Amino acid sequence: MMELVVHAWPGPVPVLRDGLFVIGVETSALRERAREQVRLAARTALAAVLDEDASAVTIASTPGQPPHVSIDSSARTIGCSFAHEDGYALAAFNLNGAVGVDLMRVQDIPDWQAVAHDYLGAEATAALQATEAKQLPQDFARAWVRHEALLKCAGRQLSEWAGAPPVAAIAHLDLQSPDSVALVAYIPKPG
Amino acid sequence: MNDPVSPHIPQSHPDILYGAPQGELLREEILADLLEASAARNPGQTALIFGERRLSYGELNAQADLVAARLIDAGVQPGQIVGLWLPRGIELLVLQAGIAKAGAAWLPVDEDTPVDRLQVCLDDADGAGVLTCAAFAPRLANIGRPVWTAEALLAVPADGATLSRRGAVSPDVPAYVIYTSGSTGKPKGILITQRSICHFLRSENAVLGVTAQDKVYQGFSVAFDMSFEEIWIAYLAGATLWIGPKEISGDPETLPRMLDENQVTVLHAVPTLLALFNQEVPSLRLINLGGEMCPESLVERWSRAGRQMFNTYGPTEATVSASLARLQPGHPVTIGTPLPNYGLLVVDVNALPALRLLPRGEIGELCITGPGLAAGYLGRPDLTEEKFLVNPWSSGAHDGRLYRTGDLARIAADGEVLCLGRADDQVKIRGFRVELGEIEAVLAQQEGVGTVAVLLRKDDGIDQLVAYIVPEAGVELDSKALRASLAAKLPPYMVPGRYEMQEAMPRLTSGKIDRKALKAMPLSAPPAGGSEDSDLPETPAEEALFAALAALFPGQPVQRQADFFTDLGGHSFFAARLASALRADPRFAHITVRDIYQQRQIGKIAQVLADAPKAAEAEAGWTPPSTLKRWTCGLAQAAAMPALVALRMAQWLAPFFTYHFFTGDPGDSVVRAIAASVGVFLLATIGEFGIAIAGKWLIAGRLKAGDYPLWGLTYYRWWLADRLVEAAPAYLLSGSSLNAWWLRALGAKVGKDVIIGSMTLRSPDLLSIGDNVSIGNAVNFENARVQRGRLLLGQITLGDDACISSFAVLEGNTQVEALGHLEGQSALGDGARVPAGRIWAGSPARDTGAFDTTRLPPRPQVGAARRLGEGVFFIFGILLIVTLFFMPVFPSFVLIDWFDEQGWLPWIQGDDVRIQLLRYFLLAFPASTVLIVLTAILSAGIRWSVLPRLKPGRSAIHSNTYCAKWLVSQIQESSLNVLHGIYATVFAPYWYRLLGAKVGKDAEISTALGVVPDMLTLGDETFIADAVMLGDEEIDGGWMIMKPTVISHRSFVGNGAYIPDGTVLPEHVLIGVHSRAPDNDQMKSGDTWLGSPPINLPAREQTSGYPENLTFHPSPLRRLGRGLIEAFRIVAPHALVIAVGYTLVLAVMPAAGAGRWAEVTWDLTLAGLGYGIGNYIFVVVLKWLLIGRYRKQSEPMWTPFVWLSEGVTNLYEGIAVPNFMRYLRGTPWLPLAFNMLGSRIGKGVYLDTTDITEFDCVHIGDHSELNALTCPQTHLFEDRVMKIDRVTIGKNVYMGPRSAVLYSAVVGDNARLGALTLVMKGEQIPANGYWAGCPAAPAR
Repeated sequence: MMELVVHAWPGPVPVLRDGLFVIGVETSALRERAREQVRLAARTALAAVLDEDASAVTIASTPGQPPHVSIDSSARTIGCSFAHEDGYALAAFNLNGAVGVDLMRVQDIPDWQAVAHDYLGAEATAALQATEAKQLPQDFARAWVRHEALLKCAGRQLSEWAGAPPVAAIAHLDLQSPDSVALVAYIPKPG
Repeated sequence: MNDPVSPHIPQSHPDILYGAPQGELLREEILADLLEASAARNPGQTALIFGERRLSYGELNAQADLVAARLIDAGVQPGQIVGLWLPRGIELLVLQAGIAKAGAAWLPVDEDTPVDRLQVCLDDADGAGVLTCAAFAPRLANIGRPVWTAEALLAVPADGATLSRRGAVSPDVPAYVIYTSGSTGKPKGILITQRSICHFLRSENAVLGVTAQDKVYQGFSVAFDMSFEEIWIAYLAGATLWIGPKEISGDPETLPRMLDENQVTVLHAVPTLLALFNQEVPSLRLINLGGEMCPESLVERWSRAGRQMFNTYGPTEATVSASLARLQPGHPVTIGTPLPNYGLLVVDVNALPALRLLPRGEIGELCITGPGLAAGYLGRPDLTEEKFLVNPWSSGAHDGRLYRTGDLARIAADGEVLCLGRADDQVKIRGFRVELGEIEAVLAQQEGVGTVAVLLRKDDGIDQLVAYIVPEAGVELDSKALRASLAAKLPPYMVPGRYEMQEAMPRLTSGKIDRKALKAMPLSAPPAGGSEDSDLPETPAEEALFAALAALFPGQPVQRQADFFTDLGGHSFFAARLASALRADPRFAHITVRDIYQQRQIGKIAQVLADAPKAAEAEAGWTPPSTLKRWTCGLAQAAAMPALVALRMAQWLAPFFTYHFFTGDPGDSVVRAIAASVGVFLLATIGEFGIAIAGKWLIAGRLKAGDYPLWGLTYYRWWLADRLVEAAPAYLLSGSSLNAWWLRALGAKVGKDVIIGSMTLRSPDLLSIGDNVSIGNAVNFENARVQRGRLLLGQITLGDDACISSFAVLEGNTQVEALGHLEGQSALGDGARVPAGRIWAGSPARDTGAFDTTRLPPRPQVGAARRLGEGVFFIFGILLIVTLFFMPVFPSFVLIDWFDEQGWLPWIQGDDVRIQLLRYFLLAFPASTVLIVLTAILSAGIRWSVLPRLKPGRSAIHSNTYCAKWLVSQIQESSLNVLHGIYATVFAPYWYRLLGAKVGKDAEISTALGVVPDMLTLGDETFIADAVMLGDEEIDGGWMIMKPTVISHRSFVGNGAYIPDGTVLPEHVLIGVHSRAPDNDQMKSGDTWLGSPPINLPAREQTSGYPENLTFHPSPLRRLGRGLIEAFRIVAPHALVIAVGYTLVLAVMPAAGAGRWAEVTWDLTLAGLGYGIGNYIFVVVLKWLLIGRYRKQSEPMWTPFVWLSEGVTNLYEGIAVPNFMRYLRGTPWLPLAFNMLGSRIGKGVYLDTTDITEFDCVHIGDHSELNALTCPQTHLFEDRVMKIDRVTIGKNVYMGPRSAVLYSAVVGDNARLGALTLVMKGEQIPANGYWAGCPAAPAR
């Protein structure tokens, strides 16, 4: 499974890999402010990668829809997705199609079984039940971000388990911190 | 922005703040020099004032000399440490000065400090002695060191005595050592040199500007290094010290008054003290705050023209203070900029112990450089090494080392430093890192807030932030308002949930806030978990919601207008957890995470929560029908039963009788007898259809959709019609066009060219099928069911070109629109609808995509001629097959007759009926064996001679291939009437091989339905459990598709599972009970798949501990044993039938001969009834004799227990059910019949299923309703071990059609299980819950 580097932004221009790149941005702990910050960072980063002027790049967000990228007012099939955790955010881009990214702090969740059963499906729940207690927070977080990333890639909102989300390619993100896990789901270039 | 105290000149590093470089402040001097200089300058100047006493600088100096001389005489060397422990007052300061003049260092201890502590410190510092007063001296008796009292030290010297003086004292010797508490509990001593302290005094005063004209308040304990700012800066400047009496030092009324009275001009204080002052002190021109965070309000309040306010910051390790900020009203409070010659820098906390300098704006640990750094911790080289590091950015002069403060700070863009609290004051709340200092800083900015401390408390297991606030004098603070302002600036998890107002902060002797004491204080009144600013819940939904929110966001107020996402700080994961938590309560099982997204506001979410859909409320109690009603109906049903049973018996008794009527006399033609018998048989068969149709119309008429009371009249009529219809041998019509006519005759509307495999249909009037519809095998149209004491009849409508695959179940009130597809092993529940052109699958059925109309070629057209021809073919075929399979009976008859004539078994002869029965039973054994063997050969013979081997592929349903396949299936079906005993025996594989299937060694086959033998391959050691739909052909859109179905080595297919056509199961795969096999490309060897839609389980429990010879590789002896028992089991029922038949016929023959037909009919009827009941009793007796009570146990397959158990089950299913118990379905008698077999079924139970095997293990509570094809699955065969355990179904439980509960599961009272729901092993369905799906999950 592919591992993608998270480029700190501001920083050097991200390098594309299979048409993908991910930036990581330190943000305010306040969600609203963090959203603004990551969107600004995303625009400038994408502009840098595409060698365009930052003002030409717009990322429009409608609630319930994936973010929509347009350059010089013309829409582009560039997939874009955001994920937030406390004080940190990721923005992922796929120049070849849809992308979904999710980030989650590894934490103890006493009600994990009910949550996994309701949202991740019986298969994932069974796999988690077979996990050692020590490893559980990590594995749960991994399963969760995988599910959310796939949903975001398919443009779907989180809802109770209704079958596996559409299949997409998966890439792990190297966060350089054991506290959180993150994952990207994307539609690769056909062929 | 505060005015910068000094312009900083960028030196070696732009990210380091440097104080003004003022080299002249660093001198070769010691403290004594400063004092002596002031004394020399102005000896008459008042130095100390304490109450009424005054001491001038000259006097002070002289007295200090005295002390110093005596100390020197006592042997105290320069740099040696001596304790200093006295009450505040002039003596204290004189002694202190004396130590300074001796060149020694003091270890000051507050007067309230216990002796032990002093002892510990002295020992640690290796002190030379203690200076104290006479009053304290006795307590130092055991100190082990010289004790010098002030009285002694200050005793007037003898006249003319010369006083010893100190010699040269290097500024690098210690000046003082102050002990602070260490994190390990042992105090650590910080040693400050003369050089450092002298430099500090000059450095700070370069900014403060205390002059000789000032009167300085001395209030700090000398154990606190802020006292240096008071005392020694005053000495440096030559100012007057006004020593505050101890009793007023904390007094908010007296102290300011006295300061005012005494015209004190300089105040050094902790902010709290100033905050408490209840009056202005106009004389103060300089206020220097330090020791804790300074609230902005204080600055506001105390700023005035002509007064300067400062905030100083510094750890003891850096000599009192390192930075200083000039405070101005309207500007945020910072710790300012470094004092002259000091430096401040911020390093990355995460990079430690490596030093990574952070640029401005970033938060990190604050470090101090400069000449003020202590040498280190006394006697703690490890700690010293940790905190005092080499400065990599040293610019040479005096900043070779840096000290890590352990405080978090940030250098603002303007060059001021913001202190953010302790680095280890970072706490974690619900996983978030929170700097308490940051919260305190924001709180301090609020109006009216005096002193503040924020702590993380754990009360009642909940972590929450609690703010302790000392309001400004006379101010009433509103927690709500505070919370609101904080919420505007801080993330929600950083807003304290509780605000405790205090009169005063508990303090340590250093003057700092005693956080431990705060933590130890119990919280005030409002109960934990509820915050006084939360709204109170008013409805049950709000109660549940508020409680769940309080658990997820502890300490945060829950208000109706709050937005879950923006106000509470929730996000998708929290929303998910909230929905799951709420759903735990069955009242709110309908809430979804989508509801939370859509509603957002707490109040609105509560509303949606309360608006449960009607279905969820249905689980609230219902009254079962009365006992009277039930038994009235029961009696009426009992009245009808004999007729039903008799009708069934007539089907074989009549031809039986006919044969014997036409034989037995010489000259009788056997051929004629056979012909007559066959004729009667055929009539009887057709008659069954006729009776069913007539009965249905006469008794039930046309039943309309709706609900009717259970046990009522309509119920009775529906039941009786259902029994009649069910008795007809509809399997004969399977796959033929006659099926459609049969349904039409019963009242269904059926379109053109409809092909139906086999189905159960409970309310024929309410079925409407369009044109070109395909229905697979064993499909259940359960449009009549009993729920909550009501018989529910519902319409099922199938649109044109719809396709219902095998093993699907549809409840009433459902619809499949044109081209809609319902996949195999799916459940379409009441009210569901498959939209046009969509494929729905699973239990409960969900949309899985659009049906691709290009998948199959267009439907082949068929002319009327062909259809007619096919119709004729089917009719002819059915009759022929049925007859052919009736034929083997005759050779058996012939054989028995011959045995009889030959006089076999002469010792069992007689007129007694019982003797006759026995005789014929024994004679019938070889005869039945002949029957069975002949039947088998006949089947195979017909199949192979007439029909070629079927090839996989696609053919039209109106093709010869289809007709050929149909014939093969007919042969299978018909032969099974005779050969049903072969199922689940060692002989089964041979039978299938005979028909054309490939079956490996040691394969076990219980009952496989829908098998197309030519397509089936079973590997070695495979196991096919009961009622498995195994690779039946796929029929859709006018086409039949047959694909090879392969079950590989050691794979296991569980009860009731569905293996679609073309499935290739890899090795060692387990397809669970009632599950559907997934697509081939998803399966791997060793997988376990369960459910519909199937899910891959990661591991399965392996049943180990049984030797292979009992499971997979039995010994020849065991094979023989099983073979014999099973052979008996196959033959016995037939022998019984024949024996009974013979005996009966013999008995009535005389009457027949005499033409007394009424008597004959009556006798036969009675006998038939007796036989039916007799079958049941026979099984009951056999069960108790052979098994006793079933209990929880596990036995490997190749053991007698298993063979016997299976034998009983097989007989039960083979003779008891078809001849008797099936007529008890839907009556109150059936539970009684089962209880005789050992079950524990309560009263009033509606039971429409006979699928119970290990009877004693079934417990069903009163008034429960088990609809058609439900099954309490008390045994499972896995790894060839039979495991038996109990199934417990509570009271008032509703089980939808085709539901199953696996052993050791418990279904709670009044629970409801949807159609095709599988309750897993050991699962507990909560009472009143509504669960559905395969595997079961709470229904939405």
